[in-house]
Amino acid sequence: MRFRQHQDQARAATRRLLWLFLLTVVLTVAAFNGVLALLWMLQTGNLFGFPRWFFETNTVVSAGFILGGSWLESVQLRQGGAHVAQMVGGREVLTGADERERRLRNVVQEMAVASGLRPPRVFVLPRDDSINAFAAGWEQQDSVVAVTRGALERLSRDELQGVVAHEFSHILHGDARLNMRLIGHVWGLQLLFMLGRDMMDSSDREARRPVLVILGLGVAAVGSIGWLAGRLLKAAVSRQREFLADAAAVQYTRLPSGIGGALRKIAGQQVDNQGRLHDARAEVISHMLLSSDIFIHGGALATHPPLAERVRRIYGRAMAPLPSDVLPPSTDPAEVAAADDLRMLAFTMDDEAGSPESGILGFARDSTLAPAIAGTAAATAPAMPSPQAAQVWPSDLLDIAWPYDLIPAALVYLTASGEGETRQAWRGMFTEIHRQGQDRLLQQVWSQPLAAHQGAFERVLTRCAALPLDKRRSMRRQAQQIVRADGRLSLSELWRCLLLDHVLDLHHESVLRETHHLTLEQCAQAIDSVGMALAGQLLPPGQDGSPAAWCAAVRATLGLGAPAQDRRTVTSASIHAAVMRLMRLSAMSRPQLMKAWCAQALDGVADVPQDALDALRGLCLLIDTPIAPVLAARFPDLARLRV
Amino acid sequence: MLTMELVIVLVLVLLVLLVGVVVYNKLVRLRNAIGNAFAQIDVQLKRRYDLIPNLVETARKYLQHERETLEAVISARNQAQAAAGKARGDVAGAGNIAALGAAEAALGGALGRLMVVVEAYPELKADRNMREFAEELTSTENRIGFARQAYNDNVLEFNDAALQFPANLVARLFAFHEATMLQSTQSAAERSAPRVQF
Repeated sequence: MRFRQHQDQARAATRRLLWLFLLTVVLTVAAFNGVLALLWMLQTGNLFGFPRWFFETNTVVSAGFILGGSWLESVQLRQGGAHVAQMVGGREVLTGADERERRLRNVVQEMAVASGLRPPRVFVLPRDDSINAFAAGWEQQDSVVAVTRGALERLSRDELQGVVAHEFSHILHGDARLNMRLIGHVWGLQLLFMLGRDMMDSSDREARRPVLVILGLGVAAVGSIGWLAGRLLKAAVSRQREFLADAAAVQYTRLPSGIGGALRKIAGQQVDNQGRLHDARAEVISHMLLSSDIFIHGGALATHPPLAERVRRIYGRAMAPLPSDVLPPSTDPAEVAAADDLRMLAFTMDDEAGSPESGILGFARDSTLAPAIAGTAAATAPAMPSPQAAQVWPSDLLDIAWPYDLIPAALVYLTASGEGETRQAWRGMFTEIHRQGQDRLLQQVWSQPLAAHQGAFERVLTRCAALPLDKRRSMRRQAQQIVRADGRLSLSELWRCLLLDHVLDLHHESVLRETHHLTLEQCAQAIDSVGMALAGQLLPPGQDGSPAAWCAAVRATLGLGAPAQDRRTVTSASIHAAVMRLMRLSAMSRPQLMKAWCAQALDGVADVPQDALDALRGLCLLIDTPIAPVLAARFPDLARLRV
Repeated sequence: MLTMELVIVLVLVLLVLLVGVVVYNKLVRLRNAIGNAFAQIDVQLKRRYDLIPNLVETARKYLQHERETLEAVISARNQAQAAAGKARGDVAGAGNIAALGAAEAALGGALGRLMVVVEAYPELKADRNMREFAEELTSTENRIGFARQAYNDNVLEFNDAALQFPANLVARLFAFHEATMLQSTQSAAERSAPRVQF
C-alpha cells in the first residue's frame, strides 16, 4: 500500500508546481519587458529614454493576461474531468450499443475492481485514429477516463486493460488532480501566443487582413515566451509520473504485455508518423495523454519520457515497436465482410475490362492504353462542358452551408461521376433524405454539369475531415459502392476516391512510413504511371500524339532520362501505388513536377477536357502542393477556395 | 514513594490498554476489509450466476444436440450459487470458502466445455447476443480474478497483523482466527477456466 506515499509525493509536487508557476510568471513578465524594451530601442534608436509608465504598463498587462487567463481556465475546470474530456471532443460512453465501447466500459469496471477505486466516467474520443488515452479530474468522484477510438480498434483486450490501468494509476496517485491544475496554469501562460496565432490564421477568409496578420505575428512572437515557459512547466512536473503509472498498470493487471504491447504499438504509430490527436486543443492536455509525440526527442521540453525507455523498464529489455493495424472487430460475418471491404480500397474496383480473379483490375486489358481510356472518357463525355461553360455555374454552390445530415449524401454523390445507374443507386442508398424532401440542396448539385463537381467535392470533403472516424469510414464505403454501381471505374472517379482517402485520413497502409525525401529519379516510374493516366484524359482518342510521347515530354522537362522500358498499360492499382509513392517525394521536387505536368497539359491548349483539369487539381491536393498559377487560372470560381 | 510507584504502574497499565485498543481496532478494520473484499467477489459471482442462464438460453437455440453440456452448466451454476449463499453467511468458516472454491471450479469447468462446443458452431459464435454475453462473461471472469487478488491481498495483510507479536495476544484473546486465502489455482479445471476468445 504505497499509494499514500505516492499521493503525498503528488501533493508535494503540487506545492512545487505553485512555486514553479509563480517563478515562470515572474520570468515571463520580465522577458516581456525585455523584448518590448528592445523593440522600443530599435524603433526609436533611443537607448534610455523610455516613456513614463512603460515598464509598469507592460508588467500589469502581461501579468494580467497570464494570471487572469489561469484564473478563468481554473474556474472552467472546476466542472471536473468531464469538462476536459468534452473540451477535446470526447463523448461519454453511456450505452453499450457499440461492441468496442461496451468492451471499454467493461475493462474500466474490471480495473475499478482491481484498484479498489470507484469506477470513473468513461469517454471516447471518436475522431481520433491514434492510440491514446488520458485521465482527468479533481477528486476520485469527478474523474474521467478518456480513450481514443483508435485505441479501441487497434488494441487487444489485454492491451486496452493495460492502458486503462495506467490511467487509473494517475487517478489513484493524485496525478489527475495535479494535471488539472497544470492545465489552468499553462493556459494562462500560453494565452498570448494562442491569441496571436488565432489572429494570424483566422479561418474566416473575409476577416483575414494583412494588418491583423502582422499584429498577430508580433503578439505570437512575444507570447511564445509564455508558450515556452508553459512547456517547461509541464515537462518539469509530469514526466516522472509516467514510469510510476506504467509500473502500477503492471501491478493491477499482473500482465506486463498489456501496457507494454500498447506502448509498442504507439511506438509503431510514431514510426508511421500518424499518432497525433486531431483536436487543436489537444496541445493543452498533452501532458495528460498516455503518450505525447510532440518533441519526442525534445529533451527538456518533452512531457513524457521516451517510449523506448518506458518499454525497456516494463519488459526489462528493449523491444521493437509493434504494427498497430486495426484489429478485426469480431467474428460477425457481416462486419468482417465490411472490414474486408475497407481493405479493398477504391483502386481494386471493377471495370468491365478487368478480370475478376486477378484481384487487381485494369483499365486496359490489351496492351494499348488509348482505347480503354477512351472508353472511360466517353462515359463522362456527354456532360462534359467546355471551359467556357464551367465559368457560368453558380458560385453560390460553394457557399452552401451543408447541413450535417446531408453531407455524407453530397460527398458520396460528388465522388461518382456516372449517370443513370449511379444516380439510381445513390437514390436507393439515401432514400430517407429523399423521403423527407430535404434533397433540394442535393438537386442543386446534381443539376450542375460535372465540371462544377470538383469545387463542391473539395468543399464538402474538407467539411468531412473532422467527422468521427466510423462516420468517415462509412462514407468511404458508401462512396465506393456508388462508384461501383454502374460496373465501371472512370479515371475521374479514381482520382476522387484517392482524394477522399487522403483528405479523410483513411489510407489503409501507412503511407508515411520511412522517409519523405525521394528524388524525382526515384519516382520516375510513378511519374510515368500517373502521366499515362493524365495523358489518357488529356488526349482525345482521335487526335495524334500518344500518351507515351506525352510522358516522354514531361520526362524531358524534368531532366529525367528515357524510361528503361516502355510502359504501355496502367491499371487502377498501379496508379494508386504511383500516387502513394509520389506522396513521399521530397517537398522541393513536388512543385517542380506539378509545374511540368501543368505546362505540358495546359500551355497553348485552349480546350483542355474538364476531367483532366480536375485530375491535375486533385493531384495537387494529393501530393500537398500549392496549385500552380496556370492551373488555378482555369478555375476562376475556385480561386478563393483553399483546401 | 508509594504514589510514585502507583503512578508508574498505572501509566504502564494504561499504556498496555492503549496498545491493546489500537491493535484491536486495527484487527477489526482488517477483518472488515476482508469481509468487504469478499463482498466484492460475491457481487461478481452473482453477476456471473445471472449471466449464465441467459447465455445458455441463447446457446440452446443453436445447440439442439448438446443438451447434456447445457444441463451440466446449469446444474453447476445452481450448486455454486448455493455454496456462495452458505459462504456469505459465515465468511470466517474455512470449510465454506473451500466448498465455494470447489463449486466454482466445477462451474468453470462446465463453462469451459460449453465454450469448446460453441467453437464448433460458427453461426452461434456469430450471434449478436452470444457475442455480447461472451464479452460480459470475459469481463466477469476478469473481475472475479481481480476481486480475488484484492481479497488475498487483504487476507495477507490481516494474517500478517494478527500473527505478529503483541497483536497475536490480542488476536487470541478476542478470537480472531487466521483467514484462508482463495486458492484459485488449485485445480487444473479452474486454471483453464473459460478463456472466452472471440
